[in-house]
Amino acid sequence: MILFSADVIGQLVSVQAQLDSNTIVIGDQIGLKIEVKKNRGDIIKFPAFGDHLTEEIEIIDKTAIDSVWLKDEDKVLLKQQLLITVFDSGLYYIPPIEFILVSGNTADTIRSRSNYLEVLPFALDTTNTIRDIKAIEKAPVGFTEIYPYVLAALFAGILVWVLLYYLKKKKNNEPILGRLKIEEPAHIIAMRELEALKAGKLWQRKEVKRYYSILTEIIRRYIERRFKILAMEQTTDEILTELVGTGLVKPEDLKVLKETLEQADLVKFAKADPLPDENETHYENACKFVNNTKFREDFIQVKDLNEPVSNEVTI
Amino acid sequence: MGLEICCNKKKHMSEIAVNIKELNEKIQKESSFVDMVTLEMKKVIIGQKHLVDSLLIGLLSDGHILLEGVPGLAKTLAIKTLAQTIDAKFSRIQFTPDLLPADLIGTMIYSQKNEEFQVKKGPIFANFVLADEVNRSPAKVQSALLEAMQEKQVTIGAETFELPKPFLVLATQNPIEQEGTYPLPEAQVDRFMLKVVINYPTKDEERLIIRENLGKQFPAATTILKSEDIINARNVVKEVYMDEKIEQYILDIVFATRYPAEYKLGQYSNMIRYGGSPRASIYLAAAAKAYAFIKRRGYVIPEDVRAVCHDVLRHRIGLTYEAEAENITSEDIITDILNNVEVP
Repeated sequence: MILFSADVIGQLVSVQAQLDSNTIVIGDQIGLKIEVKKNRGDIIKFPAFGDHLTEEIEIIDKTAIDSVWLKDEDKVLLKQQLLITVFDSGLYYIPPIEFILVSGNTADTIRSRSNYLEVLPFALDTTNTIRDIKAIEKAPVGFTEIYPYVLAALFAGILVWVLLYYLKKKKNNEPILGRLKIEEPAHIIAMRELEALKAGKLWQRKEVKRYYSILTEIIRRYIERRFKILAMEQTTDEILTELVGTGLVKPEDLKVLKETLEQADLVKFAKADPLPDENETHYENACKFVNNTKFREDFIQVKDLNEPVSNEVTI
Repeated sequence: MGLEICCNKKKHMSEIAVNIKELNEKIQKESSFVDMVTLEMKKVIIGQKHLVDSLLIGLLSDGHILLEGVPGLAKTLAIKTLAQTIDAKFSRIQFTPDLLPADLIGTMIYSQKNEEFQVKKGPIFANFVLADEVNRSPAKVQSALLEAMQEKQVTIGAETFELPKPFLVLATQNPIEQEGTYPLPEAQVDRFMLKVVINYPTKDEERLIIRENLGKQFPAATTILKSEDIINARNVVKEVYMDEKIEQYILDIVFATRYPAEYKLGQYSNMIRYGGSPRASIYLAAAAKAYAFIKRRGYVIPEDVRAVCHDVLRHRIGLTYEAEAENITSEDIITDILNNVEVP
């Protein structure tokens, strides 16, 4: 509904200020559409609107000035929308809005037409009885209000899950992170490495020192895994002493091990060069030691059944 | 056929072992005095086997020894007895706060008879010098002693005098009385090959000590060696074979004192202020060779290195305040290093 028509200023510029409606109820909001049609090249300066249009009329919101090129007329249309309101009843005068037109070297002030706005009070319903003041309405609960509780519940849920997961893993004696890695028995690893050593034919290629270094390393790693002795960081004497202390190795196996380790020490540290059959013998000694001392259920049982393992080994 | 194989085997065996066998035989011959010296010392010194071994290691590898132990543990008696077993000159210098370098190395004295200055050599001109309570004297006296230890010569006036050979200094320190002492600076402590910590004897040993001391006649060691024997033995010790695997083991141990994190000992990174110097590696190798010699072996095995490791390294590891606050000692660090460095 157009209640006001536009002014036409000069030949080429037109200004319009239109209210959406001339009548509103107190507190209602109404749009005031401002349009300026100008030639290309002219400059129009819009007034700087503050919070109020007049003393009584408040500006609630305003849009940015938008420009549209009207191709048919070869003109530029500038538009701005104000949202206004009044909080008292009565007839209000909206004064003309002033714009400054700069065209070439001349500047002029152009105005829109003035408007009127009628603000009506609320109609009182006198037919009904007087009612009490309405109770305070509860605002609907939004996500902002509940999200701390949601987060807390989520966190508590995760915590409970982690705890249950941990207890389950602990109960099953499984690693906390990652999958359970089934460890190969020490003797299987040792025998595989001994096989590889044999296949390498080191001493046959005159690499005797390397052969004995690897042979002792395999034995020491086996002892480390099997008896939980830090054999890699211990000397021959220390290893033998600790093995005696475990009470799990028979004297004849200790003797075999002692011979091999001492021979290896001679090769490694004293340039000894054993005979080929000695190399074979020490290899077999290593295999024998691994086989005789490998972990067996029955071995433990035998030990438990009071089969004494002598500690009286001369090293 | 079987006989041929047997003969070949024996021949082969004799060929392969020749170097080490020769060396072992030589060492068996040259090291026979070790047992004799040990026996002579045992006549006088009850227990303290480690001290006796350390003295021999120092003697055989031309390294000086710093002894640390409470009073009355036969430190002085041990060195005196060692000197007795060898036909060598022994002198004992009690370090006191008012001792002067001239009291140690000697000085120029004006002779009225000859009307000229004459050199009066100090007590340092001896084969075995016992510097008792070395930390009781100020730095200038300590420096004079340590310079003589390093240079093996002394300059008095304008003249330089060679110190006698063998020249072995045994300095003692008392660990419990620190008041009024001048602790040896790190650079000077480093010049001692070994720092030997002496502990109390066992009950049985102490019982024997009482009996010997209260007996009618205190036993005395017999002179069984000449200074030249020691010098010859030192040359043989140098011939003891040390494989490159053992060298690598020594390097690993010393480097672990410098860069513990590289040897899975990261917990000591902020506890070690400085690690062993290259002198530590040299002395560790030399001491291990001497130990192998004492054990009548012509080659070094890891046991030899481990046996001397604490004595060689304990005074070469500087600890931080964090270590002191947590009661971590250099002994703990060395033990952990030995337990973490792989034995070849």
